[in-house]
Amino acid sequence: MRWLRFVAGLAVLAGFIALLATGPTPGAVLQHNLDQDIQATALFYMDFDEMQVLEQRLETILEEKEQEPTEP
Amino acid sequence: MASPGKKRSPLIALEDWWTVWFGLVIILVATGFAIAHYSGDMPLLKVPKMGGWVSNPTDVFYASKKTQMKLKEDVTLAQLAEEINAKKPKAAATIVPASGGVQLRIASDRDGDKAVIKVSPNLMGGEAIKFTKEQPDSGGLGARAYVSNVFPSESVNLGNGLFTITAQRTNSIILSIVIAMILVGILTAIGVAVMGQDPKKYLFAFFILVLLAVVSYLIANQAQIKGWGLSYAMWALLFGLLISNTIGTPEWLKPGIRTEMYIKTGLVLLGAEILFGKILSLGAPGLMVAWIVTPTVVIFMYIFGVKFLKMKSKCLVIIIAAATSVCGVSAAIAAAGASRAKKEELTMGVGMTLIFTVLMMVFMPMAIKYMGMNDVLGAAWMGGTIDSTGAVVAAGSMLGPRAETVAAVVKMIQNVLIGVLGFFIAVYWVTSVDRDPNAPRPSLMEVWVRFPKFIIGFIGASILFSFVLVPVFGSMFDGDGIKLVEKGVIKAITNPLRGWFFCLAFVAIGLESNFKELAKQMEGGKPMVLYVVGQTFNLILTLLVAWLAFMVVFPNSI
Repeated sequence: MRWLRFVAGLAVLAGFIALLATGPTPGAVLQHNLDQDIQATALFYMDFDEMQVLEQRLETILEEKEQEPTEP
Repeated sequence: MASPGKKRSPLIALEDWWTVWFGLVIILVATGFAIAHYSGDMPLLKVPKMGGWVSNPTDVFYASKKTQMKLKEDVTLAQLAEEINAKKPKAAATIVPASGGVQLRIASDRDGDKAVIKVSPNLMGGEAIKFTKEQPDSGGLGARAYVSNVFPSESVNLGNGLFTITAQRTNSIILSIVIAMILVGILTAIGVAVMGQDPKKYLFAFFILVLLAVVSYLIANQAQIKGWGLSYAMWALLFGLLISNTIGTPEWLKPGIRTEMYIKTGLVLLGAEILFGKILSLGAPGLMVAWIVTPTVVIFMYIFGVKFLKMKSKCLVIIIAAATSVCGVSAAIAAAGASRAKKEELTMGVGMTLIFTVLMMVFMPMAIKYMGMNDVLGAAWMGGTIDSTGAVVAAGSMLGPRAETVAAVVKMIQNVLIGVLGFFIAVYWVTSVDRDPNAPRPSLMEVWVRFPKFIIGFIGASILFSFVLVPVFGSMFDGDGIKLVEKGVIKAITNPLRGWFFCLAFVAIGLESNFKELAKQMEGGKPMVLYVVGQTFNLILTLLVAWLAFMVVFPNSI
C-alpha cells in the first residue's frame, strides 16, 4: 500500500512536471522569460548570472545621466 | 568518536560551530585558489553549476562557455559580426538578408542537436538590437540560433556596451561535481565524526541526498520550468515530502538528514555574497526604497502576526515577514536559522513565497503597463516588492532595459539587508522571544551561550569579504576588488556550494516533514492572512517611497 501511494504520488509529480515543462505558458511574462532565457529561478542576486552585466549597464546609464546638460 | 565523561569544548562539540568551520574552510580554500589564479599560477578553479536544458535532460551535466565582449567604441552591425567571429565564442555570426533589410544571425558553430547558444545584448547609444530565437525546425528540435531585429543596412550604428554569448553543452561537468561533492562529504563527515556520529553511515546517506538534489536541480533547470521561476528549493521539498509521506524515510537515510547543518553552512557561505559595497550602487533613492521600506515592513508584519493575528509561532511570523520584505526563500532560510524555527515553519514560509512570487512576477508588469506608470518608478516598485531576484529581473525586463536594470539593482541592495536582518533576529530571539518572561534580564554571558553561533560565521563572512578581501584583492591585483572577488571566489566556489547546501537542506526538510505537521502550521489560514496583509502593506509603502525617492526627492537620478 505504501509503495502504491509512492508510485501514485510520483505519477502526479511527473505529470505536474511534464505539464510545466511542455504545457502552455499563459501570460506575456512567462513567454518573455522563455524567449529571452531569463533565469527567473535565481533566489539571490549572486545566483543571477547576468547581474554583473546589469550593474555595468547601470554604471553606463548613470554616467550618461551625469554628462547630460543640466537645465538652467 | 567522543569519549564519554570528558567535557569537550563547544568549539568542536556543537554543530553550530562546525557549520562555521565548514564555511571557513571552503572560503579559505576558494580564496587561496583565487589568489593563485590572479597571480598567474593556475587556471581558475570552479565548482560548476548545473546547465540548462530544453528537451534533453543530460544537458544539465554539461558546462556552458560565456564569452563577454566589452565594446568601448560604437559598432555597426557589420563590425559586431566581425567582433563576435574574432572572439570565437563557439558560435558564428552572419548577416543575412531579410525583408526590409538585414538581420544578424548568431548560430552555434557545432554540429548536432546538442549545441545551443544564448545571446544577451546590452548595447546602448545606438539603434536597439534585440534577438529572438529562430523558430524550431520541422523535426521539433529546439532553437539553434538567435536572429536580431531587421535593420535597413549593415552599417547601422548599434552603440557600445556589453555583448554576451553563452554556448551551452561545451564540456562535461560530471567529474567536477562528483569531486566537489566527495570533498564536501569528507569535510562534513569529519565534523560528524568529531560530534560523535558514525561518519560511514553519514557519508552513504549524504550521497543519496546528493542524488535527490541533482534530480531537483535537473527539473528546476528545464527551460520552461525556469521560465516559471520555480527553483530547486520547491522540487527538493516535493521529492523529500513524497518519500517521507508515502514509503517513509528509510532508517539508512536518516544519518544524512542533517537539515540544520546544511542550512547553517549554506548561510555562512551566503554571508560571503553579502557585499556592503553594493548598497550605494543606485545612490540615495535606491537606498531609500530598499533600506527604509524593508525594516518597516518586517516590523509591521511581526507586530501584525503576533499581536493582531495572535499566531502561535513567532518563528513562522518572522520567516514570512523576512521572505515578504527581503528576498523570499533565502531570507526565509536566514530568518529560520536565526530564530531556530522548526522545519515545518520554514516549509510553510518557503511554499507561500514561491507561489506568490510567480503571481507577482506575472501580474505586476501587467498592472504597471496598464496604469501607464513611469518605467523607473515601476521598476523600483517591483524590485522592492517581488520576493526573488530572478522574478524581479523577469518582471523588470518586461518594461525595458532601464527598468530591468533598476529593478534588479534595487533587489540587490535589498538582498544585502539579509545579513543585518539575520543578526537582529538572532539577538532579539535570544534576548526576548526565547527568554522566560518571569526570569531576570539575561547576562551578556547567558546571551552569548544561547546565541546561534553560525550567525558569527554568517556576519563574519560578510565583513571579511566586504571590508578585507575586496580592498585587498583590489590593491593586490590592481583592479576592481568587488569584481575580482565575485568572479574568483564567490561565483567560482562559494556560491555554487551554497546552492548545493541549500538544496540538500530542502531535500532533508522534505524527508523529515509530514503533511499532518504541516497542516498544523496552517492555524486556520492565519499565515496566508499575514502574507497577504503584509505584502499589501509592502506594495503600498514601497510605491509611496519609490515615488518620493525617484520622482520627488531625486527626480533626475536615473
